[in-house]
Amino acid sequence: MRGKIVKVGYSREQGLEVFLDKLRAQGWLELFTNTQLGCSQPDLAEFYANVTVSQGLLTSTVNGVLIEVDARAHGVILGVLATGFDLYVPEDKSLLGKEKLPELAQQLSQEPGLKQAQAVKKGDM
Amino acid sequence: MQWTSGLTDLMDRGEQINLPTFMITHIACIANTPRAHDLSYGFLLTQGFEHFGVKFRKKVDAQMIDEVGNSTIMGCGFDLIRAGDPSEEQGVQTPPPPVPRPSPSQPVASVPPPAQQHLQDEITALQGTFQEEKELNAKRHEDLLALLTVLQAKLSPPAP
Repeated sequence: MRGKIVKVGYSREQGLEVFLDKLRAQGWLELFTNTQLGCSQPDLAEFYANVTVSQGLLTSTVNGVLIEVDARAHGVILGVLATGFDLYVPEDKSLLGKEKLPELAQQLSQEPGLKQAQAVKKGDM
Repeated sequence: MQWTSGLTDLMDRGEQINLPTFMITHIACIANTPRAHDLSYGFLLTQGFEHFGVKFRKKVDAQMIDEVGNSTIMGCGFDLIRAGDPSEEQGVQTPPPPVPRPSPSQPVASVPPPAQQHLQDEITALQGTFQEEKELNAKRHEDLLALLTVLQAKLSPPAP
């Protein structure tokens, strides 16, 4: 959820039990609710500076240590399953270019005369 | 991102998602994009670094800002409902349809107390959101500086 750690108590207060159940069903609850995690920004930056992925094998070096994992090993490290749906489709940002936005806005709003696109909250659509 | 809505559907249907494969593929995309991108999966990758015995330069524990809060919920398109409101069954609901606003020439009716309270709650929530965004921006700034430092070290010529 946007790179955040899920707090069980807060989620229950907000009526998000169903969300917790879905995380549990995936086997991710423990991972995403672990508040003991930490992050080392300089090491993370070095990881991204050195990372390559070839045929599903991720390779990088961090502080002189070689890191090499495939999905299965990565799943073991994270304590989650490495099975199931895995078709990752990157978003095509070119469709949201400035020249396309008015056309998209006209179609979505069904107002052919609309001159300028403006942001709309998903829930308002 | 676009595919996340597909993932939500899969979760709704109870179908297993291969998180490790998704992460690796996403990381490959992040590494190859010409655009600026957040250094994603910080906590999860740091957990992996630990597994490989990396000696951390500056490990910081998860902070309050790293936890799902009101702004995260609102950012996902949900509205927060005050606890104890008997008219609402759940704390989080999708946003209601927009209410038409009076034109500037129309007289402004006085705001009844419950609506006023709701507005006050929204202002409080927005203030919280603003503060969290501010802290997030500071964190991103720090990420970029760290990345630049690493890149600079990589690009600088070796000492003679």
